[in-house]
Amino acid sequence: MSSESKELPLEKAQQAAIKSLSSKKDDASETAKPYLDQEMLIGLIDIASQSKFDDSPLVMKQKIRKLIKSRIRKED
Amino acid sequence: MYLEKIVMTDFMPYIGTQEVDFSVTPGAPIILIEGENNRGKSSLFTAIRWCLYGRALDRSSKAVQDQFLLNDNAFDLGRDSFEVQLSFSNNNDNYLLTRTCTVKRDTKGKRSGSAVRTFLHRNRDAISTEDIPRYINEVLDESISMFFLADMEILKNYETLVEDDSKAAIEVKSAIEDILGIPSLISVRDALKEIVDDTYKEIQKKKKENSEKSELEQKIAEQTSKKSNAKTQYETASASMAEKKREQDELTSKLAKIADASELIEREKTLIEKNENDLKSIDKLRKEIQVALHESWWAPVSTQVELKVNQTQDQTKLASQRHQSLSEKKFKLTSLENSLVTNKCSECQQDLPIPSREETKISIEVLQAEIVEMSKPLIPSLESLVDESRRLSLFSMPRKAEVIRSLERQIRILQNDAPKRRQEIKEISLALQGVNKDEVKNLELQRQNKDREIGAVAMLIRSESTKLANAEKELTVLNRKFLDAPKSAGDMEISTEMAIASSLQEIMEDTVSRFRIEMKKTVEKNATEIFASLGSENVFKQLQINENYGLRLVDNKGQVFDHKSAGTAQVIAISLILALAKSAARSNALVLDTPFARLDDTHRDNVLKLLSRDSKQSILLIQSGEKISKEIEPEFRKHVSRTYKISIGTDPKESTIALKKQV
Repeated sequence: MSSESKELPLEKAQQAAIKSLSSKKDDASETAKPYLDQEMLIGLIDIASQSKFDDSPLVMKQKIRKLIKSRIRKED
Repeated sequence: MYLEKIVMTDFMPYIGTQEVDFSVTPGAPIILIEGENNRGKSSLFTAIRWCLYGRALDRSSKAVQDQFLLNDNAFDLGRDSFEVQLSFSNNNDNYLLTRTCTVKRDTKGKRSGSAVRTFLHRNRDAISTEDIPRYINEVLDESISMFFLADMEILKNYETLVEDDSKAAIEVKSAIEDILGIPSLISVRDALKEIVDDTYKEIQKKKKENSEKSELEQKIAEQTSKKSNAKTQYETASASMAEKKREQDELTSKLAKIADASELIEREKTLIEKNENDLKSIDKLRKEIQVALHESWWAPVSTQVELKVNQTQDQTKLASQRHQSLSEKKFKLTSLENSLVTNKCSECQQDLPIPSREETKISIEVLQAEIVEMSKPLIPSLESLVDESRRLSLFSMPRKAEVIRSLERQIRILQNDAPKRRQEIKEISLALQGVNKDEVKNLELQRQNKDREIGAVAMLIRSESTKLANAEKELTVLNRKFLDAPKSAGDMEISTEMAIASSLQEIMEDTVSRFRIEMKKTVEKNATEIFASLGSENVFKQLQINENYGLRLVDNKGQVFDHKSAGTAQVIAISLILALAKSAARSNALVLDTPFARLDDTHRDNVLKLLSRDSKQSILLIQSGEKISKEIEPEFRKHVSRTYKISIGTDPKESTIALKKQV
């Protein structure tokens, strides 16, 4: 028997995130602006889609913080 | 999640062990299970749900106590337990779930409670009991199971079920969002919100720490200044100490060179002082003796003694004069006699004239007579005077003789040391010839002053050294605190992180809304397509989804159509189920209990065609006698992997399930 895991409909979520980015980026703080791009949003959607049943909210938070920090250090 | 097999033992109407193989072959995703009403279709459905979630519901969604799930006849036969074992797969993992219930009997032999044990193996690895619910909900969350293990008797009223704010409506809405994967995005959004809160708290904490850090920096500066001052003072004092020590060394060196002289000077000084003291003591002792004599002698005897002493002294003086005069006369006699022999003057060495020779002879005779006269003993003799004095002294022994003797002894002792000391002083004086005694004294004074100065400087050094050590100790503590304080670079990063998280939170908030709208449109589109493919009517334009995920039928004129038809409601519910299955984040088996109860032949055939074509696994619990139209049956049968038939047993309380022989 085959099995399939679509998880979060990735493309739709990414599209929604990218549209939100376009409409919200101008309102973002000047500090945050350099880091708000598709790469960051796709990273967030990846975290959302890869979240497993045993991922506690704390684990997800850590993953997101890691993503943000790595971007900050990359830009620096 | 896809089902593989179920094995039931004494579960509800199923007596003994009944096994159903749910596995399907590619292209044949359908498992058909037929049964008369009240024979066990819903019981099989319940067995799946009970095994997965440990809960059994009746047709009115009310919970059924576990103890009543045991087959009546089995219970009557004395069997106290029932069991359901379910095999399934998910994401290439194979699961074996076993739930066993032991029923308790009261004294009357009636059911009085139960105890359930659950076992789960994933890929043959046992999962701990407390983790089983998490694993099962990961495979198929109970909240969304209503759309995959679908009891059509409940979902037939789907349209009205979601049209209010009841608990059931909220659960349905939540289940649909779960199926669509919206909570994953919501959890990211919520996590971002928490990150904003966390970073805000961290920034506040760091601000406080930075304030403390500034204070620390100020303290460090003050302490460093104190240390610097103490160090300067210490160094100055140390330099001064070195200079003074050098000067002291010079003085010591000079003094060492004349150390002997210095010692001699001291020794001389001591001896002189001692001498002077002794002389004073002797004078004092003599006076004491005179006093003692005066006080103690008997006066008459004392006068006689004094007289005798005076006589003795006079006689002694006389004896001395006689002795000297006698020596002179003898010398003169010898000279004169020599002059006569040599006939020359003893003084001028001139020849003596005759008269002078005569005179010399006369002089010799006179001298001889005088010498004879002077050689006679003195009367009284000196010895007799001394004896007389001693006798008188003995007779008039002073009363303070002992005191006087003691004083005399003391005088003798003092007088005994005096010559030795005088000799030593004389020798010292000789040794100190050429030494400047004033210079020695001056040097000694300078050295004493230097000692005092060095003592003062040493005290200053100790004080400054203590200050320096304290300042250094304090600095060490402050520096450690300062190093532990957060770095400014980290502060910047946290501020930036907070700014990013805050902006991302807003973006994700918008993303959730957009994604929800998008997914609703997808469900709406899929449901409309499915609804259209299931029906033959062409008067309906679409199924429209609302805020609560309710579906409304809209006609070609764009008006909401209130159909009031049970069959249409069933088709709408099936459309939703299939649309959700198609739009779902995950693919799952569909177990549909009595899906065709209110459908006409056309709709039933269309559902079967759709499931045959689009589903991966569909287990259909259908009523016996529900006919499949001859037009589609041959083709449909090709998509059926297996057909089971539920039969009544020998007793109405018993059912059995077995593969149906194909006709």
